[in-house]
Amino acid sequence: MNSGRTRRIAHNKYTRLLYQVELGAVNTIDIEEAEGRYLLSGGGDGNIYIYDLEESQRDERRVVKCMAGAEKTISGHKGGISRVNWYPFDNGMFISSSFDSTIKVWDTNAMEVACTFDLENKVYSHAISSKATHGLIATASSDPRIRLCDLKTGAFTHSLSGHRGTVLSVEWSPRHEYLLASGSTDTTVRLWDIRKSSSCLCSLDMHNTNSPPLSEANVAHTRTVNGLAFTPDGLHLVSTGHDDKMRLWNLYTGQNTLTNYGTMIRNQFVYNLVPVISPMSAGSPTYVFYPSNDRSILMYDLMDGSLVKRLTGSFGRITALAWRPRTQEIYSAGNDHDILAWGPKNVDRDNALQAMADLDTWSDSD
Amino acid sequence: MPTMAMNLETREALSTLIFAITKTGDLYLDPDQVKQVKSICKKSDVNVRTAYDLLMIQLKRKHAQIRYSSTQLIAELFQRSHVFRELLVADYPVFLQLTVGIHQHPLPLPVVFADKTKKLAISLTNEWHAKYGPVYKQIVLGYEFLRYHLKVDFSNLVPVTDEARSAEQRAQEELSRRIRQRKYEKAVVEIEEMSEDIQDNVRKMGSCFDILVPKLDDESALNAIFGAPTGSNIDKEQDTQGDDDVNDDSRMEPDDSDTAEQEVAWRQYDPMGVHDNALGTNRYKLTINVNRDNPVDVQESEDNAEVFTTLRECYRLIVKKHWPKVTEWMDVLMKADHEPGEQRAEYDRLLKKAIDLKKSVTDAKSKSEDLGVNMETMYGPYEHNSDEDDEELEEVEVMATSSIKNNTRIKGKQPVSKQQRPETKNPKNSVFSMHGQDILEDDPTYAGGTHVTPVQAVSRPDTRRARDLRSTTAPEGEETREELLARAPLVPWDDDLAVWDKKDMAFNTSGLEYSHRFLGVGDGSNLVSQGTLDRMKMRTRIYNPELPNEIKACRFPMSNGRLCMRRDLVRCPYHGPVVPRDELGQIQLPPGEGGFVRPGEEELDDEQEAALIARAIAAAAAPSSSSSLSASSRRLDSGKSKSKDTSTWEDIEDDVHLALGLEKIEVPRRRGQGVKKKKPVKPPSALVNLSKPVDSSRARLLRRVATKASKDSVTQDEAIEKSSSSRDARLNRWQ
Repeated sequence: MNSGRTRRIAHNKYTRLLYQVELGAVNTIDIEEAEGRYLLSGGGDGNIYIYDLEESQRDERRVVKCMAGAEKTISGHKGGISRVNWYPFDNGMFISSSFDSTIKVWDTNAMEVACTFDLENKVYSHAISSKATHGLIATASSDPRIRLCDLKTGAFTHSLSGHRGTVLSVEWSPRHEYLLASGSTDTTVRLWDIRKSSSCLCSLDMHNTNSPPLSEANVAHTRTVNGLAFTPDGLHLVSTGHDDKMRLWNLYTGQNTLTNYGTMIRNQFVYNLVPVISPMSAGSPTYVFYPSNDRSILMYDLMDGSLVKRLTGSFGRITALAWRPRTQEIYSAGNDHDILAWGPKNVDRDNALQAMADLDTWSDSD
Repeated sequence: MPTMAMNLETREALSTLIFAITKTGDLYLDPDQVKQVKSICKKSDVNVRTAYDLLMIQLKRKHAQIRYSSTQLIAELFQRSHVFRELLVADYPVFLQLTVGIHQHPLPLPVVFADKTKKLAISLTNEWHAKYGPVYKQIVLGYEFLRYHLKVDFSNLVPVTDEARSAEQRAQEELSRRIRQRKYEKAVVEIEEMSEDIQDNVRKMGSCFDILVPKLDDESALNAIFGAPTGSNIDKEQDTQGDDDVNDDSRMEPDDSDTAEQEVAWRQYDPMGVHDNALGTNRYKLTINVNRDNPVDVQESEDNAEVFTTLRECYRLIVKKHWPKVTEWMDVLMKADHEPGEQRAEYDRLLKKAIDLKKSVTDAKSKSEDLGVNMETMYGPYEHNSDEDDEELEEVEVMATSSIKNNTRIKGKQPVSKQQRPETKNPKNSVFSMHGQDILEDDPTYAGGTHVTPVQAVSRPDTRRARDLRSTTAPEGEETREELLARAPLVPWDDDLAVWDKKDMAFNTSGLEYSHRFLGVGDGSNLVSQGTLDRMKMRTRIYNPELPNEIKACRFPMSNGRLCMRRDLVRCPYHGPVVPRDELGQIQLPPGEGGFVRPGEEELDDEQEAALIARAIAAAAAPSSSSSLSASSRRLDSGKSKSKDTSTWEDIEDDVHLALGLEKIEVPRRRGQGVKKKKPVKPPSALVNLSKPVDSSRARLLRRVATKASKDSVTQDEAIEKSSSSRDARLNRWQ
């Protein structure tokens, strides 16, 4: 991604109304990676919808119609959706987790549930590795153990214990297929190697002390950790917590890089909040988009922590972000029922309306 | 942008202006100040940015009045500046948060202005959405948010920006123009279609008139009048003559000057004196009165019944259908937009046509009304109706008309139209109008006084008058009743009128024999005693004293150089009787008395003074319930002047005290009052002071209850209670 385009994102105000048909808040969205075309959204009312983004490409203001939807059916979720994910290798399947303590695997074409995992606890998040062939779903629930669901067998494999509180966030490393990161209300971020019996590798320490990796004193944040994101190269991890901080961890050393992202971040709700990191390319900075609780999206330079842009204009709290690589767009879901698309502004000077809006109309008498 | 750096002075001026505008707390912004802000902002975009920042600062203040004014100013600048729009749109959620109160940010007090701000912001969003929606998506988002989340009703909003207002006005004008155009087109078609019908109808009516009313230029008709009439139809001819006496100038106009001529004519055609015989004597002067109400007296008879029927039909058509139509066309044509060119010529033609039609319709209508055809008499006496009731009525009518005819013939009068007796409208004047009668007139239960035809006003009191009448009329005895009536005084009715001429009166005037349980049977021979009868002849009169228009001031010169302002009717309690005084307070004597009298020495004799006082008291005690409006207003005036006097009360008091060698009375003033009087502090702005504690009932109670004294008393009571209870507890413990 070249910097010029990103700056255009940053400098223009550009939102696109995607839809407003959902009755409840939109809790989570995901755009599939293969084509970058289909958007999956999970609502607070337990409904899941799929949207075709190509449809809305021409007319910026067009309200995108829902392609398919899993309304509250007998097999569907009974509670709000906490996270939806496309199966990374095939659009024919997606996975959803819900506050009704289940994780369901769906057949996209039939919009039917293919498989259900009942975790007996409120599920805050789940993750499926985009790299691994093992097909394991890592789950984050109010149970301190991280349970792994096997897509191949449709059963749980094993649990990773080590956290002392609700696990709010789990992410697979895009670099190492067995490396898993998790954040919890016990203020720790733990890295796991799922192959090991004593699987916890380390608990990240924000103070970079020389304490043992699994020391009780190691905390990643001063308060609950509710968001994790790996950089696309898998070398760094971004964590965020209720202490209104975002931290960048060097995974090679396991140390806090001490990057200062400033004080703009607002984070106070107990839910899985995922910062989105733009794809990395040589010679241009990588950006991290942070859905702040004050209804704005904060855009930081990942490495030096400077605030590039604050995207305001949403009327609801932004609950989830998704990056669409092909068009350099950020999609944001809000609890005001809207999904907004933020992208480079199409400057259309021929547009009469635009010209009118650009004009100053001072009267002569003033 | 010429200079990015902002001139410090400009910034200063801008901030002063904006703060001033937003802190007035008024409902409307001062247009001059707004203009100043705009002129500053017009100079450069930097100024606009500064203005935006300042406005946002003001908008964030926790006071709804400031927010309201700021929103108004924002609306002004938003309309003008592109930069301002960009800035505001970027912060649109914040703007709505502060003005509408979304995101659980309730608007601050006062409530009235919070509501106003909210309404204004919603209207603004609506209008901006309509205008800038396609360009600024945040506004769309805000609009949708308000609409779908807050369920704001965007219909029926009052336009707030000038543009929206003018657009609405234009739309209204366009609409009314289109309506006018449509009406015009419809009228054009209708005129073409209906003018034939109307003209036909009018023509028909015209022929009816021709039949009924012969014209002077009509030979046959003239012959019918002036040609030698045969004896048998003389009366009829005479009738006709009367009938066509006047309608316009072309017709014969029989009046006094013509009568002599006529007489000659009659004599000429009537040498046998038939007419004389009919009239009894030819010395009678013939007078023909033209009744203005019914100038054409064509009697409907069996002969012309058909014509009348046709006329009625035509008339009904005209009144019910053609007349309203023609009036409507005129209306529409007058209001229609004038367009130049061919349209104009066409329009003129139509207008002319419509005017002609209207004129002919009006003529026909008035003519038939002259003939006695109107909406009230839709069926003539010779018109056969299906209703049986009407047939009966018909006969009666015939009788009536024939009898009238007979009468006219017997009296020998030429067919004089039914002359109305001059209506004697009884002016309700009487010698003694009851006090407040004009008010009583409105009372439905009021029967009014006896109304007699006006006679010369009598000013003598009634009782004496009655006596006079008796004494004067009795001996002469020759005066007729009419003459007596002409002289009789006019008095409003009262009980005494029933008995005023009675010498004696029986108790029982009913004529019925009546028996009493104890007194036995009364045959009506018992008379009322003379004294009672006299008393019955008396009449009650309400004394309505004249209040003085203005109560004179005392105007006694006081020691401080001013004049005493007390207003008393007779005497001032401090300075004696009120006498006319000049500017300096010196007594002005009536021209007859030359001497100069010191105010103290001036003495009225007791009797005079007593009379004066009695008069004043009577005036003061006048019955207020029966007072007329003028009296009450007068009293109001005096009341007002009294209240004015109170300000000078202290002066008078001081003067008296000084004269008596007493000390001046210091009136204790309330602390605030005196200061307030000296310089009324003008509030700098209309902002409601929110920091001031609200004077609620709770606050008032707290002021009473939560004082130190009351708290102390409570703690004291508690302590006593406690110690006594512990003492009681120990009392029962026998160690």
